[in-house]
Amino acid sequence: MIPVAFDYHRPRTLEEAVDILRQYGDEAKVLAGGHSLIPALKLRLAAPKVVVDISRLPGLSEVRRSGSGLSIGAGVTHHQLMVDPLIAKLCPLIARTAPEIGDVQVRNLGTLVGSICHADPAADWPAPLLALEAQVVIVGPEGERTLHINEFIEGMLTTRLAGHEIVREVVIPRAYPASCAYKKIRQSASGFAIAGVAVQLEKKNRKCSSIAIGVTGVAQRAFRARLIEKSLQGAELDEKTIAQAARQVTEEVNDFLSDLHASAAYRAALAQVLVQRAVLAALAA
Amino acid sequence: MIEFKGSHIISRSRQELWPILQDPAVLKRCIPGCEELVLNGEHLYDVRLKVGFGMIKGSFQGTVQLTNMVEPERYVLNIKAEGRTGFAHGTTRIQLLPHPSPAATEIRFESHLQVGGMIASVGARLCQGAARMLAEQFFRELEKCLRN
Repeated sequence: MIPVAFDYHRPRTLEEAVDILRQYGDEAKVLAGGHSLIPALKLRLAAPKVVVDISRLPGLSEVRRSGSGLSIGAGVTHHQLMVDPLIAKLCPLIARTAPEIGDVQVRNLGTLVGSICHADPAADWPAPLLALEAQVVIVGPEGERTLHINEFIEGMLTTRLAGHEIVREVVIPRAYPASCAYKKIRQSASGFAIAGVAVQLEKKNRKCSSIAIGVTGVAQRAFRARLIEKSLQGAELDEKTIAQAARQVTEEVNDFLSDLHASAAYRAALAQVLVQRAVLAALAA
Repeated sequence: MIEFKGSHIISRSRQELWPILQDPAVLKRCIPGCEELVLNGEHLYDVRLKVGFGMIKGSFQGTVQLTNMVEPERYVLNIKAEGRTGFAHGTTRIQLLPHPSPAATEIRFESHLQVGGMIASVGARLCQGAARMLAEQFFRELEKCLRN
């Protein structure tokens, strides 16, 4: 289908982009990779008056060092995250999640920041970003603010981003070791996660000294599996302990999704299995 | 077919709550995205809604009708709405149950919704979540209404 007519702006600076958004607010929509927005426009499910293209803004398409961690600009594509040497070195969980996203076309144009702004409950990124305690840096007419990824995503397709604001970058506050994994069951047509689990852990001798588990695709929004983390913290991670802890996934949230792809009970079962697989894979990594 | 149910405790007695739940002004405030709600017959309202989640937005027109009314215990809410991006119609059975604390009521609801058109063909996996969020918004607004 053909989208409803809109005005197209391609500002040359971030300030200019914010200024356009200040004028139009909710009537405007930011375009980066366009892999959520363009389909919605073509189906006329979204009909903004103004589209603000930030894909060619200077400086936004870079992965940079930021303190002891790193920063991922709003224009950085999934593919860049697969191949970037800094990502591979400082944050391997991101590098391991990126190839699991969508298909080649989506990875070549779609962006991490675009994905979290769209906040699809089946998107992959929230799982690793929750596990990595990512911070979302937002700019608007009143200046800059930073939100933890957990606060940023409110629920299905909704975030705390106001109509006149842009996410400039996502910051991973520190470097993480290689013991991490992202495991998912994908919907075969869209590549979205029917269930997805990201694990980042640290071990001392044979014991797990810290563990973070992010789960996506199974509830209204992605979440940290705090009960499972608590059971595994300080424990010796053998298969039995992990399997036992993973059973608690049904207690983590009470709104398991049910749709034409998977029932709530099936999603809960998938999440439990994927937690086990991801923890074991992280241990082996 | 989307099916979902839930319950909510409201700090008013059933007798107090019954007329409030039929008051067009209250309904207009509490129904998410409601731009217009006009009484057009016995327990029949014409509605115009603008519902959206993130960038996905749609305008809908239709009717809300209350039937099978047993004061102050239960009724059925019938919704029919259509717009350019699709349609939704269905029924919600609403029960007002006395709550242990005297000035409170438990509202239980059970919805069966049929969604069709573009929204259903591309957004089916999001429809149930959307319906649940709209129900939550309704009760949140109702509580706000009652506080003032």
